[in-house]
Amino acid sequence: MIDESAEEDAALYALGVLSPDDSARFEEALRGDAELRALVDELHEVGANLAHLAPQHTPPAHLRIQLLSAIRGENAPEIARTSRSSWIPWALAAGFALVAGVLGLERGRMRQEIVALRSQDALSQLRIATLASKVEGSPETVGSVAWDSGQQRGVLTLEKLPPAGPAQDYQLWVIDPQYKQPVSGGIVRVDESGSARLIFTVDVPIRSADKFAVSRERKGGAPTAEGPIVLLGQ
Amino acid sequence: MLAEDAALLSAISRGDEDAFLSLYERFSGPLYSLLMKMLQNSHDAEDVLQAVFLQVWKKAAYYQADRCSVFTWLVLVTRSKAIDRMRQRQRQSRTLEEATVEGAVHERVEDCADGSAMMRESQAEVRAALERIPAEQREAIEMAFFKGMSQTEISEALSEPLGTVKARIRRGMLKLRTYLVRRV
Repeated sequence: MIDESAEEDAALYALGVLSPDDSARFEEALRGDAELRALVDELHEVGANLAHLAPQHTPPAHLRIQLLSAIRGENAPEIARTSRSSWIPWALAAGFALVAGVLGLERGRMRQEIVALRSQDALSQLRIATLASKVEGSPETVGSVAWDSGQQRGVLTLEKLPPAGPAQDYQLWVIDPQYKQPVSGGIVRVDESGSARLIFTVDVPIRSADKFAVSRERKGGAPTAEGPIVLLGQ
Repeated sequence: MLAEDAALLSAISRGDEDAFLSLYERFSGPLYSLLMKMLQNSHDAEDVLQAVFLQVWKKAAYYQADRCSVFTWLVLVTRSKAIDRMRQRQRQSRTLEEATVEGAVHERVEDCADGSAMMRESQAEVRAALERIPAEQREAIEMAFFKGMSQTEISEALSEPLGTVKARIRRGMLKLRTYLVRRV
């Protein structure tokens, strides 16, 4: 439960109107409070929306050329190396894998991109899997999973998934040969557009995430996979 | 679209110039518009926009996809740099911005130099949400967002106690959250 004072600080912080001292104090509070962090994230989204109120202008064409010239004079982009940021590249990679799938990139090129991603230090423990539809009549459903074995966390991204149906939920499974049963990655909530994004952890240590699957299970999920598999990938 | 935006940043972090240009094409208009609104000066707006995208090029890998959308991240970077520029100008000239807060809500879309259908739709939604909150809350939020004023400066400008300003911003932002966040 976030108290009124913290809500106030969160709103002021999101708009960038806290003093530097107050900001530092609030950021300290944020580190240990996931609920407060979530509120600030949402308020940042609110703030960003306000940008749409600005009357629209088009930047001059020469700016694009200047920028291109400028980045060619810069060093290569930095690779995030902090522990907090190490989560991000592979979350982005999952998005990339998905988009590549949606855009229909050929498998060879996809594989090259993934190899390139894996070659980065920050991604050395990253496993990326593309998920293919196992449902007749829904071949366009695509998905990807990025799994970080070091952090034992993953992100699942799905597109064009039909509704699970009444009294049913989609559930993610990690298939590790050391376990007889697939390990649950949690319930997958699908929005109205058929998209889903799930950041997940598992209850047992995963040594080798050989495959990932999404099945249709009873509402609230099942302790072991029982329903039909709708997506599978490795 | 959100995954596609994040994928662009991922590619940029690996030095992909095409991805950089795609991101620029997609977001330079809204960000430049925001800068024009905040800075009221095309020279400064161009300068800051260039700084924003240079930072994107260098720091794309630091974007946290689990925290906010790419657009939100870009707006945060843009506002931060715009506020720095405002403060720099204030220090140099001690001249306050003349932009009116009133105009923020009531400027007509037809005045736009370039308005895509998507941007007009977003603008209309945000405008409608803002119209649903009390004027004094809207005023305080816009002073903070577009003019980069601190809570103390807003308090002085409105001749209202600091506590009142804080409460208005809190209430307004929380209401806007209920109207806007679901569609982000």
